[in-house]
Amino acid sequence: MKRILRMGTTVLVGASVMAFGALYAAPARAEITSAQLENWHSPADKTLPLEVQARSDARLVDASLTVDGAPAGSATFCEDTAPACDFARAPLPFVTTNYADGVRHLVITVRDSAGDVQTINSDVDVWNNRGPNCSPSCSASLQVGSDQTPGPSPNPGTNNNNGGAEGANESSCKSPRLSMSLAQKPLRVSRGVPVLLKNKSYRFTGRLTCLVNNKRKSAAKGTKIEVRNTLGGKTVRKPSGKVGNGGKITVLLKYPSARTIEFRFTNADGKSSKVRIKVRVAQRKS
Amino acid sequence: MVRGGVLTLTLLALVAVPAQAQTPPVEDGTNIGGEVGSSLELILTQPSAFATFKRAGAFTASFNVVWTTTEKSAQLEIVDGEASSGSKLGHMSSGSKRLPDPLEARVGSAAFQPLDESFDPFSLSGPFTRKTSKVTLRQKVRSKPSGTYRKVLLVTASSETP
Repeated sequence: MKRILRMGTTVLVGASVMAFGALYAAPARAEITSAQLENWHSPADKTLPLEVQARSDARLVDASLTVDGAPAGSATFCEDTAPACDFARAPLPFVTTNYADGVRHLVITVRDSAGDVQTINSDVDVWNNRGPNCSPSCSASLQVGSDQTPGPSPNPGTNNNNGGAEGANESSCKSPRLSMSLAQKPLRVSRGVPVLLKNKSYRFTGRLTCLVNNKRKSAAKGTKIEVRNTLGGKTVRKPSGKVGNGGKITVLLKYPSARTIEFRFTNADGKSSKVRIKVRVAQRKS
Repeated sequence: MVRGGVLTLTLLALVAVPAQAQTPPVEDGTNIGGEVGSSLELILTQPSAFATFKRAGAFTASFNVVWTTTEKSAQLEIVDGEASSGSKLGHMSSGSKRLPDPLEARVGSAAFQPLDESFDPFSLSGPFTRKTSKVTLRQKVRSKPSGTYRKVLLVTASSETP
């Protein structure tokens, strides 16, 4: 029985080519010639248009693809009405978007009517969620602080994902951690307390993160943050803020008098994280 | 400017073993090459925060750098992102105050380097994809300081050209 299998691609996918290769499965009495460079590549994004070429003394039946052991597609080589099918090609596209980024193990199996099977094994690095290429140099910044919670992480670099994927809201946000700070320069700082200008809007920024699958991730966009004011022994609720992209929170507040501002997030389990910022208010001397 | 690199792969022929034939396997190989565009990617994760400096001692925080390069090597550099000179260079500060000891950083298990001096870049052989390198920051505190101290860091990944 003589059989040759070859994997290749017919179309180059995007600009994701980082390495080329070709895979061969040769028959026992193979006549191996120089490899023909095909458009097989890894990492791969979108759809990798694989094509399987097979040869057999018996009638070729089909080719199937598994990815990490799970079926991912199959194709027949010839129509039932075809007089012969001992050498044929079959498209077997690998849709990488169905899988998370990372190395995936592909197994392509070809069957013929004699019941013989042939397999090709290969690893493909799926890479759909990449940042832009910033070769030859990439820069990104981040802020570290001595707070108990991390400060907002400005990362105006080329491709910042700013702390991971979002994925937690009130119902799924375990162990919430809220950080807030005054993002604008106050009038002055008196005994560690920022003094704000009366009735002038000040921007407070921060971030809410949650524990999702034992990993700390940004809270989902739209998660509500409660704002409370305490002055004269009374606490009043103020219009709430919402979490934006990357768990970032921006709230504009203006006050006519000194008070303690409390930012609070409470999840469905009743666990809360709060940040209190005491402010004083003064009028600019004319 | 996009620079090219050459990756050479060695292909090994896989042996087809028909279900019923017992023919000895044959192996052969060939070299192929392909010109690939230079690619570099850098992602920083959210850093863990320093604990509040309530006492003298050494405090640490860390973050991960996830980077990719198609070049044969790449280097990582961490510098002060706020000041390029002066007394605040490499020092965490709170308003006009600064901590007397510089912030230190290390990549992986390399030695800590103070950020008020030039940083000896950390090099890694490439190519690699989405490799995670842990950056540890260390701040020595001599006595309990008041206030919240911060520092913006600039992390740069670059491809080394041989």
